[in-house]
Amino acid sequence: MDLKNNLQLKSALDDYLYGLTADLAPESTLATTMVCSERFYRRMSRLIRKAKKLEVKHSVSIHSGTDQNEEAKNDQPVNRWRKRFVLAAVIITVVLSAFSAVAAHDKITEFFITIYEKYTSIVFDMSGESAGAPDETLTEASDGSQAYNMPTYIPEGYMQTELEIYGEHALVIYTNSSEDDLIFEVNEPKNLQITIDSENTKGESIMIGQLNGFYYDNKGTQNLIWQDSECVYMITGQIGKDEMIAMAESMY
Amino acid sequence: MLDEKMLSFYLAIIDNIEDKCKFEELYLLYRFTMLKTAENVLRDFSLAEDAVHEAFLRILSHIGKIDEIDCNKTRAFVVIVVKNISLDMLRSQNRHPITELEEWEELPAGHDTDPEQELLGKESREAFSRALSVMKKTYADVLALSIVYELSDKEIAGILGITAANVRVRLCRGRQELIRNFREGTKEHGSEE
Repeated sequence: MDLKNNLQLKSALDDYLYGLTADLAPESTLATTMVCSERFYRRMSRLIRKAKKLEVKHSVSIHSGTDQNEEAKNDQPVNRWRKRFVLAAVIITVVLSAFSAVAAHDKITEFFITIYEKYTSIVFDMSGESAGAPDETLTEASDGSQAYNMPTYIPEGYMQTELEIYGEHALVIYTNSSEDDLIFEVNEPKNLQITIDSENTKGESIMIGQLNGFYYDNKGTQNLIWQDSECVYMITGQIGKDEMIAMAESMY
Repeated sequence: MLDEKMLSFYLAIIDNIEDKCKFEELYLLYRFTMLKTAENVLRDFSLAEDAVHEAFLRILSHIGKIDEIDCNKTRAFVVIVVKNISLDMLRSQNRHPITELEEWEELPAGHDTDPEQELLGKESREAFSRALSVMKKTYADVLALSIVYELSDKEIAGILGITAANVRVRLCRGRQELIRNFREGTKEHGSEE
């Protein structure tokens, strides 16, 4: 008898699984009896952010694959028109921006926006000379992992508490005594996407030395994004614009 | 670089639409179930939070295996994951890694033979349920992950934080215990009749 394909055993295991949760109160009831710590919520929101990034990558591969028909099926007419309008505007803006980028001798040659049902993301892509050039700022660490260019200035009171490096992404978290997080992210630009929530957002262009950057304040959290010839960087925290720029400038 | 007008434009067009990914849905739907499960094992809410965080970290790597979020099969899955992590934490806390030592042995001799053949024609859902109800939970969990969730040894190892070899040992012992319990259950059931 093959237990793995035994339907009776499968049914019995379903009963077993049902038994595992049968004694547990419903989630809504449990929610009223538990109070989670700030630390837990913070760690989980980090994990959710990471999951969203992974899902964006996954969704890109699906969108370029065989699921396009299904996407089209779900596409409502209003959204279709909106997407067309937005995409047309984006193409114009990207072309204009490419000219200004060339004039500014930026090495960024290509990035574009992707609009899905539930989110919008900016995709950075490094092409041209710098794309295939040997990497000068990214050095190989002794353990074989990538070592990234990091800010030498960290605002007072903050200390590095976490460092995560996965694939082409590095994330450093600095925390102060009030448990406020200051997040520094490094991404290699190839196929990078950054998702931006625009709700209640104010943004402005700023300069980090000779590099263009974009700063925006979103619901009390400040963000600074910029790109040099090697990587795309992002600082997120509640330290204000000047401190963020100081951090960024300390890298050059 | 990111031109101001262009970025303002980007920011303006982003909808305030719901931005929940599958993982977030899972978190919102089962976090308290998982916390309760972990707390039942660890008797410490702070440790339970650590266990739940670790569980979500492991689930994230296998999120593609979950088809439907809001169903008992998925609820049971997250319970299995967090319960096993909590048990591991409890063991390491008590410095008695008994289960690991017990389980980390060579596979029993003759495990490749098929004693399951003996059960051919005798099995029933009720008999299996009785056998499962008295077997060691760590074995039943691994059997469920393998048979119901159709996870590979390597995937189960990643989810439970053990080696693939250890998964195979648990599966082998689980099958043996299941058969033993099944035989005993069948005998008792037969004598009652």
